[in-house]
Order: sequence, then structure tokens, then C-alpha cells
Amino acid sequence: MIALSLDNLHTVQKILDENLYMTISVSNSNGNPWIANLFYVYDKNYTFYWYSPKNSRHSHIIRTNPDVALAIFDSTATGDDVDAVYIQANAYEVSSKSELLKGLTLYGKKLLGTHFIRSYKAIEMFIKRYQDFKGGSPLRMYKAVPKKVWKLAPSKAYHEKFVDSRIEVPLHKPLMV
Amino acid sequence: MKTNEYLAKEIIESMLYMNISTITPKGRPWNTPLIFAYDKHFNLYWLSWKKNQHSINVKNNPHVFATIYDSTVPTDTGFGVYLEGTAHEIKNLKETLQGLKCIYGRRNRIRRPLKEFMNKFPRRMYKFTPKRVWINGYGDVDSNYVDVRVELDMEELKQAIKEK
Repeated sequence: MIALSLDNLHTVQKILDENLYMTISVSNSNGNPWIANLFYVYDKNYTFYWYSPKNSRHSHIIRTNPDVALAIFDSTATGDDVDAVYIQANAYEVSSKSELLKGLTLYGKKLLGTHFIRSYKAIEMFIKRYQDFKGGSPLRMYKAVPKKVWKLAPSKAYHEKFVDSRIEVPLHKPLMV
Repeated sequence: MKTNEYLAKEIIESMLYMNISTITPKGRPWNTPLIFAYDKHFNLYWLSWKKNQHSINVKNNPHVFATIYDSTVPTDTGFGVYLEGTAHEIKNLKETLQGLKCIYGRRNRIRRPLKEFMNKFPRRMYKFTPKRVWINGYGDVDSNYVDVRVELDMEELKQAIKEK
């Protein structure tokens, strides 16, 4: 089990809970970046789940290079310092039934919470159709397992000008959240 | 009906932050939200500490992938813009001034002196020139929403950007 340092946990948790999407960066075989915005859910161990077409570019790249960078922040912010969570992680395709059900249950809760799906019955149907993410289906579920987590550090000033940097939020094993 | 290029313009105009993806010298992906501005030719600018990881990355590999989108809207209701191009630190005085006008002008702020982005000062101006731009649309796979990307016509997008 992975848990975040309690010092910055509240801020990190707030950012993760208040946002719907994360930006995932991947590095292709030529060593160049590719980016995608994804609706995400996460579990108590801060493992992030999303689903995507298996033929999408980011899914292709993850198959050969699991190294991903995630950023979660409110892109509608208007202030000088948007608080953000940055995560370095390894990403994998999810294939086991138990983990698909887990990911879909988290999805269902978030979709219900954001009123995208409005009934428990629809959520149940959504979860029961885990086969949509296996076999001949064009869709797959993916997970990202964090290795390092940062948040935006308080701005430093140099001659009254802001200089942004990141502060690492240490990962501990095992700890409770 | 608005074209995709005009939809993209609306998102670009309405967002203060974009997220850039760069690659570290060790080949790892890196993600950074930044305040940005743009000129009438659709060059994008930002100010960063030269020692930030993304600044080091851009120096090492100018390829940048960026996204401008609303992270708060429900699925299937919003549009995002994806931009692929190259970025570099501006060292030319004229270009720095142009970038400063865009950045401080966009937020109606008093422009800082040019010298504060050179020499011993920590921050630098960066310029990002997109080569390809997409907008996301929504597709349906077995009743599950999935993102698809539609490439925009750069000339039409630039024309839309020029129009006030």
C-alpha cells in the first residue's frame, strides 16, 4: 500500500477530488512527447485508472514504454499560481476481471458524483459490462502506479519575481490514508 | 455553425493555463501547467525559471506537445485543443519584447523590464510554435464515450486567432 506524506496530503487530496481530468504525457519511440487529457479515477493506494481505445496513440506508446507523467490541476484557474499535482508513474493495461471491476466501480462512483450517470441501475450496468474492456473490444482499461508525487512548492521570489518549483510529496510503504 | 477552428480559438482565448509535455534528457516524459499568451501568428509564449525541469528539457529536446482544455467540465461536454510543435528559449531582444507584450498584455498588467529576462536574472521567455493542432471530439464505442482527435487547418486557425 502506498500513502502520501500527511503534510501535503490534504492539498493533494483536494486537487485529486476536485478535478475530473488528468493530463498524461508519454514518450514515443523517437523520444518525443505525446499528450492526452483523460477522465480519471483513483483508489486508496493512489493508483490511477482510465479507459481508452487500445489503438489510441497514448495506449500504443504505453505498451512499449510504461513511463508516464501525470498532471492534475484546475485549468480554469485565473491566479498566478495554480496548485497542481504531478506524478511520475508506470502505466499498464488492466486485464484481470477483479481489477477491471475495481476500476469500473471507481468510475461509476465518479460518474454518479459528477451527474454524468444519474442512476445506480445505469452504474450497475456499466460495471457489469467489464467485458467491454477485454478480448475483441477496441477499449482497454489502464492503470498508472505512482513512483513519485510532487505538488507545486510555495513560490520563491527573486527580485520580486516569482520562481516556481515543485516539492516532492514522499511516498511511504506501508501507510494508511 | 462554428467551425472547429473557431471552437479551438474560443478555448484558447478562455484559458489562462496550458499544459506542456516535454522529455527529460534521460528520455522520460514531463508535464507542466503554465500561464501562456499568444501572438497574432499563433506563436505561444511563457515565462519560466531557466532551471525548471521543463526549461532544461526544452533546451535538450525542443519537441513539445501541449494541451489547452477545461479540466472541470463533465465528460462529452467540453473541447480540448492539442498542439504539437517546437519551443525554444528566446534570446533575441525583439522577440523577447514581442513575447512580453503578449504575456503582460493578455492580463492587462504592467510589463516588466526586458533586462529581467536576461543575464543573471532567473526567468526566461520561451516561444512555442505549433506545427499541428487538433481538437477533441467524442466517439462512441459500445456505448462508452471515447475521445477522438480532429486535426485543424493551421491557416484557418491562424485566421480565426487574428480576428478579434
